[in-house]
Amino acid sequence: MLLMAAFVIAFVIYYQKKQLEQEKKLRDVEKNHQRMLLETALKSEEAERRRIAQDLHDDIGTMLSLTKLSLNQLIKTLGTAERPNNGNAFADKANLRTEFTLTKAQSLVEETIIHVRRITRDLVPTTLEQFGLAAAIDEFIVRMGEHVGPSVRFHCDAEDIPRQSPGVELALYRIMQELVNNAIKHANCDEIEIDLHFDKGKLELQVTDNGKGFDIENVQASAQNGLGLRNIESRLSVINGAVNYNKPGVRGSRARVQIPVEPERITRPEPLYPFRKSGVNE
Amino acid sequence: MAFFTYVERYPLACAPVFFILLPLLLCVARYRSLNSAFRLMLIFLAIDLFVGLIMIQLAANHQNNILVLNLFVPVRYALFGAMFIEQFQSERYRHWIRYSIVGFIPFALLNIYISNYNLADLHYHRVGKYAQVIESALIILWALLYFYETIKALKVSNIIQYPFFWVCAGLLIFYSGNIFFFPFWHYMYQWEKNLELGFIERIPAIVELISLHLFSIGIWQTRSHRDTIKS
Repeated sequence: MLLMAAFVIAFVIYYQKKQLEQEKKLRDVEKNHQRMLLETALKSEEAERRRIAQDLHDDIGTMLSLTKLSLNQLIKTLGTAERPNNGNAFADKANLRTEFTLTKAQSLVEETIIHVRRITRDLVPTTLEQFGLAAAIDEFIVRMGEHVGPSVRFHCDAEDIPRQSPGVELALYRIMQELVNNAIKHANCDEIEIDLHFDKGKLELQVTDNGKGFDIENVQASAQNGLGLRNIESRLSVINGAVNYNKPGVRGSRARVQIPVEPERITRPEPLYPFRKSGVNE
Repeated sequence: MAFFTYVERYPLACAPVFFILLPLLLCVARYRSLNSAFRLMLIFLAIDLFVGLIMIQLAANHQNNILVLNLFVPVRYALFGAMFIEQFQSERYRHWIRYSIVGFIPFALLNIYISNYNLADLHYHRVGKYAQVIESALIILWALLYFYETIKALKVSNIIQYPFFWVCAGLLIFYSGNIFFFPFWHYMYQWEKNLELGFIERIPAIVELISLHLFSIGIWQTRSHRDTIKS
């Protein structure tokens, strides 16, 4: 009986351990499934962005370029067809007005082309694929500088940053975009500092602002406000990254994103933005 | 003086009584981290120590101490049963234990009466015939049901770090080690016809020492473990 009791105790320990292992495996499967779903959703989102960018570039961009060319042609035609009106003030005035309207239409089309190009680049960062994360962030900051807003500084030694897979680089780029946008929209700051560096086998991205700061727990608890931060966490969960938020000083906030570094990519990737035509809107 | 002489003459029989001090002191030291089940364990250990010391004292003075043991049996079952009531999640099992306690106490008292024709004659008082056997069967059943519930519900992440698992293991070892031994106590321990069975007689003391060790492990684990469902 004593032996039986000892056997029962040993069996309980063994069986419970076995069951927990199974439970853990099941949880891992569920976790992987969730991760795959998330990855698929993010990939679909990127594919949709790419499709929109491609449509904007190929269709609307081309049409706008053609419109611009037509307007140029029309202005030239008007210029050559212009003849003396024998002191007809009314005809002179009408000609001038037509020319003015055409020039105005031309400048509007040019402006629209610039906007379409900007939107296209925002949707699919081609620089990221071609030149890497540091270059893409640089370009992002330059484009941000075109608008009135906080001054953005970027610290990075691009040579130290190994190239990562397109998915990882894109995720980091989107996270950086989200963090900078958050700082501009909510932090009420006038300085943003982006720091990208390689540290102890991890790629680290820091976005620091000198704004009013925020309480991470409150933001995460809020259904609407925490959406951006949840997006960041979702993207990071796919690439095994982690994020933490802290206060760099009396004011402001700092987001610190860390991802494990993959072996350096040797082969040149497929273009992220395979336009059918190139240089249409030049 | 007779007390110490007795202890010196029967060290193995007396060892479990003194060994109770280990889980008891651990209980006192860990009092803040003890849940209600372990506080009942503390009460049990205190009573057990008290009963053990009284029994040694009576034995040392050549007085029959079996009445103390007979009276201790229903108290012990009530305390262990209450511990299981605290630990079980299933309301049905809790009800069963409650009913068993209510039923067992009068049964154990009746058993004393049945096993002793003349209750007033304390000199020839004998161990109850069935109470300890029934108690053992019930406690083994509750321990096995508790294991079953724990495994089925997966309510602990690591059973080895779960305090009540060790208490259950201790109870299972103690009662399963004694269940076939208890029925003979009535015939073995008689004032004038004491049956000498040699090493077999030492089994209860050894088993009790093992179970007290297991209780101590459980009490020790309460520090790192709040005895919550998900640990």
